Amino acid sequence: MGSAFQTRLSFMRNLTRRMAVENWEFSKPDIQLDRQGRGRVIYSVFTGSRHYSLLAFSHPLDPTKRSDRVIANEWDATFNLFDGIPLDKDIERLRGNTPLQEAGRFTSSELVLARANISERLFNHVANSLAEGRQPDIETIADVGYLMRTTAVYGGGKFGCADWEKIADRVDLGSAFQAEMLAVYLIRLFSLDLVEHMARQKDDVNAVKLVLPIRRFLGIGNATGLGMAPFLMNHQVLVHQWVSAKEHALAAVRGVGSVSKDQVETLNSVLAKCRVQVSEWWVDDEVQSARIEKLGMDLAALADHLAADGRFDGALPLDAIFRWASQHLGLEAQELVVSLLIEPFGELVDNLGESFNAEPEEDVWDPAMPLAQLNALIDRHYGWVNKINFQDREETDRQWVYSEEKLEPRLGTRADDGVTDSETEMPLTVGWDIARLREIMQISDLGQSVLQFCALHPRFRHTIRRIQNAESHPYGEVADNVIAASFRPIDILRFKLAFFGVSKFDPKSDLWTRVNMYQGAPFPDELKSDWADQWTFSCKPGQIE
Amino acid sequence: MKFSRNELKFAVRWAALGRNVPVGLADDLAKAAMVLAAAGIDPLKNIVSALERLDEHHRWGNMSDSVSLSVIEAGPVLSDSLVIGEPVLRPNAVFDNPVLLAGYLCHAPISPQMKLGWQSCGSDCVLVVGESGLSSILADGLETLHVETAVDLSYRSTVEPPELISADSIRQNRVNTREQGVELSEAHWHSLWRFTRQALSKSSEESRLSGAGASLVDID
Repeated sequence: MGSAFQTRLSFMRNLTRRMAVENWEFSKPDIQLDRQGRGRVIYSVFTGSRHYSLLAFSHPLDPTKRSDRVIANEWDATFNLFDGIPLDKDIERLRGNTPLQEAGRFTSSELVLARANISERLFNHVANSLAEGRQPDIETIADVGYLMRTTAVYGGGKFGCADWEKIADRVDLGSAFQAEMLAVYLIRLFSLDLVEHMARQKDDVNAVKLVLPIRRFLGIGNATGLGMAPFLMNHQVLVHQWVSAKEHALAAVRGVGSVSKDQVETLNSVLAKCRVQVSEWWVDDEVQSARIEKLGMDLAALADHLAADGRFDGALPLDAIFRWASQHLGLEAQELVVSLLIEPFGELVDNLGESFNAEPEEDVWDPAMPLAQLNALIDRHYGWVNKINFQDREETDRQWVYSEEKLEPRLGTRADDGVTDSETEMPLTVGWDIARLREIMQISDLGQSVLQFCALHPRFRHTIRRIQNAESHPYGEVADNVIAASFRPIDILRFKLAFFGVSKFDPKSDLWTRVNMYQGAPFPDELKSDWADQWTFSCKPGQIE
Repeated sequence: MKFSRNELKFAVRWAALGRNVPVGLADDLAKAAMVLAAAGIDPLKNIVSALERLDEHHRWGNMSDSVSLSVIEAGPVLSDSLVIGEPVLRPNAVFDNPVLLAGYLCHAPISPQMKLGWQSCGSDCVLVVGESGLSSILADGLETLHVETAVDLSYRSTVEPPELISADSIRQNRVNTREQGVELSEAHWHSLWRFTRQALSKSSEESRLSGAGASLVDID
């Protein structure tokens, strides 16, 4: 999970592909910003069936108040993705609420609530450069990669916004996180429009616009913290759908009997981009730095391996490459090979992205199941729990909680003797719960039903539901002890972010990371370009022709 | 006041956890709340009442020899019991909140269709459930407590009966709440959050500084 990369099934890729195929129409933005950059901008898109609008409220911030944390109270810009075209009364209502974020109140007309802060160093450099009539320094841009960084993108009914079910049946935004991804796509446009606006305010005569290659190289940042971990743990069926789709895509590609010349060229060209991007991927985190260095060497070995004569001539050539990678490359490269192998086979795999959703009814619950059968399911799906000694204090050292302070997810050290649960702990103690269930089952009648057992031991109802779900949704469980002192939440965050389609993972600690979204992605007028579906692994302009 | 269904689910689940309800039962309570809300019944008053009265009943253990039960503890068991036809609870069990019980039975596919009756504040009510869950709630002036089910259960309660809700109304409410959220009492929402807050961790200086990883100010 901690080595995952985006694939062509990732949510951002799904969205830009759909935008192109369905000819989404983007209106010219309605920009009302003052000389300081205060004001609002509205971006509208017509998907062929519906209109959506991003309302961006810009309110430049005292730098000492700029924070990536959930507990921040002010931001440089705040946003809503609106379901339709907002009327004046909607704009006024949101002008009073959106800047407040969690303290505001929203309605089912709002699909997404988000906020972002500028990267002050890069934003000012770009604005000043443009104002002086020159393009910004590409090395400075590459060092950060974005002008603004989102610090929360809320959907799914948060703070009164529309429930996900409202759009679940829609063709345009019905797949996983598509509304959120659309909002972020438009926020990227806003960040570019804002910096050019500020450049014009500095010098209206000499200011120039960003040239397209640099403009395209600027993504939109994101800072992600612990909240993604409980999301994954609490959406067992959904996570299964994501992983299952990726696994099916990989299986389909490994089963390909012959590969065309064009497909080989695509594979090699994406690998070439990957190698350049990895060479440009610098982070402070020592663990990730070592992984990136190893990845660079592995990709060179992979390129040599692919260049050998007849590499694609044998039976199941991609399966052979996958097997070679599994034996010879590190974890990061193995994961990247999955992305690479899938890349040339859009016609074969892209439809799998449509199965990313999970209806609540898909949750499994079988009260008639005999306890003996449940026991067998534990053996089949939770063998990893047997390797953990929960008597060891280190294995139960951590405690996940929601803070009373804006419900910020936090991780702390278990305060008690490590034996009892704290009343405020998030129910993420899956492995520990399985071990405790096993203890009780050892002294229980295995012939009784789950119903009878739960009537006696209701505190295991949740755990039993997870076990039953694991049978029908085997990819849905994080097979690790997330309360161990040695556990790195950053690995879970990366896993989910990879499904979003982000790049340039930049861990800032074991608990949070910064990433880049849509770096290299086509702008609305480029969605039909030949390259538009292969925009990932973006490199500094001029590195790859 | 309008709330999203997701807000309702989160608040109810964590309110239950704040009252030390086991997480599996808290999840089922949240589902029951959402089902009732989707059907057009504000569940908050009954949930708050059931959570407040929890100490009178709950033991989080053997329910088979209890007569007086909290619906939060026993509702899921009764629902399961009816679905698979395996009696577990005592036939004369009394639930503290049959309106809320309807929420548990709503999402249980029960076949053949049955009517479950209860007497509430002097009025008799009938809950009709079938293979697709709840189909209607009727307050039809039954003379005696009326039960048409393979499991002989009786319900008594002091909570107010719901208004008559027809099957058509329930269907329409499900569509409306999906599109527009659910209408809930703001006062009861605040009452619920008294419990929800109990499940939230106090913010110490240490957790504030180090619990989320990132620092308090980010300049780059």
